[in-house]
Amino acid sequence: MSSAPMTPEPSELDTARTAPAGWWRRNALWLLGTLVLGAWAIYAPYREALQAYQNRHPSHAIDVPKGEWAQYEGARWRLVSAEALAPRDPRIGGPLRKDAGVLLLQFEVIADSGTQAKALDLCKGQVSDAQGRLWDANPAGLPRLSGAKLPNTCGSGYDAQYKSIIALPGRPFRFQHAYLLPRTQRLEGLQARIDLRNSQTSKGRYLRFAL
Amino acid sequence: MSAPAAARTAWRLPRWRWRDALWILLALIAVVALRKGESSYEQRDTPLVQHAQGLGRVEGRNFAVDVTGFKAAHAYLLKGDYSHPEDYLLRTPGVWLSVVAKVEARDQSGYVGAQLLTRDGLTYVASSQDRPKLKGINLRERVVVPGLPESGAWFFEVPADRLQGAHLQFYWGNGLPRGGDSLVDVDLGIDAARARKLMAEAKPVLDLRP
Repeated sequence: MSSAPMTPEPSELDTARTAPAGWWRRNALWLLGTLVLGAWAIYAPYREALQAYQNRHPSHAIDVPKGEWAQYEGARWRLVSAEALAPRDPRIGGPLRKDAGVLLLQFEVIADSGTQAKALDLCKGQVSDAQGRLWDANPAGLPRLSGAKLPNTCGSGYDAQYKSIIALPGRPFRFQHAYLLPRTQRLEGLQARIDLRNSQTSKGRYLRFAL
Repeated sequence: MSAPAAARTAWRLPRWRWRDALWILLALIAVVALRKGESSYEQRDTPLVQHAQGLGRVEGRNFAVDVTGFKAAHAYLLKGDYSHPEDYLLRTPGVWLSVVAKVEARDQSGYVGAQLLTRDGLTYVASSQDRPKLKGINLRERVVVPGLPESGAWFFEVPADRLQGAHLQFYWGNGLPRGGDSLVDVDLGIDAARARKLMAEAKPVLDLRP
């Protein structure tokens, strides 16, 4: 009769199977869940705040080459012309400060079906230079301008006969933005911007036209 | 082992150990320490003050102001307009302080606000465009655009005894200074002697008609 024990020695595999699991392994599920939820709790408000900020401060440019159309916010947009008025231009019908010049930009917009003129009227026009300086369209100090009677909003206005006109779907609607810039400012390097601020669908995008 | 006994073992609550209590205590200490170190609402909402001394050019975020002088007066004589064609006197229960300056927007169009901070912490915001009504001179609510500086003056109505130690403050916007934005604080250098001189030189009526 041998002296070997009746029960065999447990193999290493059996030891691993029967050994109590570590703390991390036993709590892995809720730790992982907490990690995921914690990351989401930080990211979600950040994303919401970022979207709200981008709606107010559009920062993603859609570049539009000269003379071309661009799709943006339920309409197609095009810069028709850019003209810097000479200081003695007869269209300047009011006092203009000596160090300032007037820049006229004409745009055309064709609304898609279902796009309201009121929504397009929320557009904001700006001009920027290479240094990032921004000028707003139709500022307070702008002199009275004669010439082509065009609306200065993007979706509605009055024509030369003071008849109300709106941007109808499928039909081109022309409008004009006027800017007051330093007289020494050159057209080269300037870019025109159109954005629909506070739109829920623009997601911080804006149109950038080369002049 | 019977089946019910095995189930009881599986759902047993974790055993309480002193080490757990220590972790909770440490977490509580950390929470209290972090809350104590947290900045208050007032601190977070405070503008970033940039100090400057005397007259000259000062710069804030997106604007620059060049203050060239200031003067006190008891009343202004102004030209009437279409609704009141006669010239009229604009009086104040205190004293008028006019600050002559050149204002410039650096990056985008907007307004530059101004206020006077007295030695005792009272704030007097620059008087509105209608008081005095001086189109092209009163800088309050005047839009400034990049590259096109505006010259003019801000007008403050202040009690006569509050000029000493007053600071001028400039900020971007037409309302009140915004939290996190720059607030340029200019010490005008009005000591007791300067305040007396200002009041002595203050004209009873300063003619501001064009």
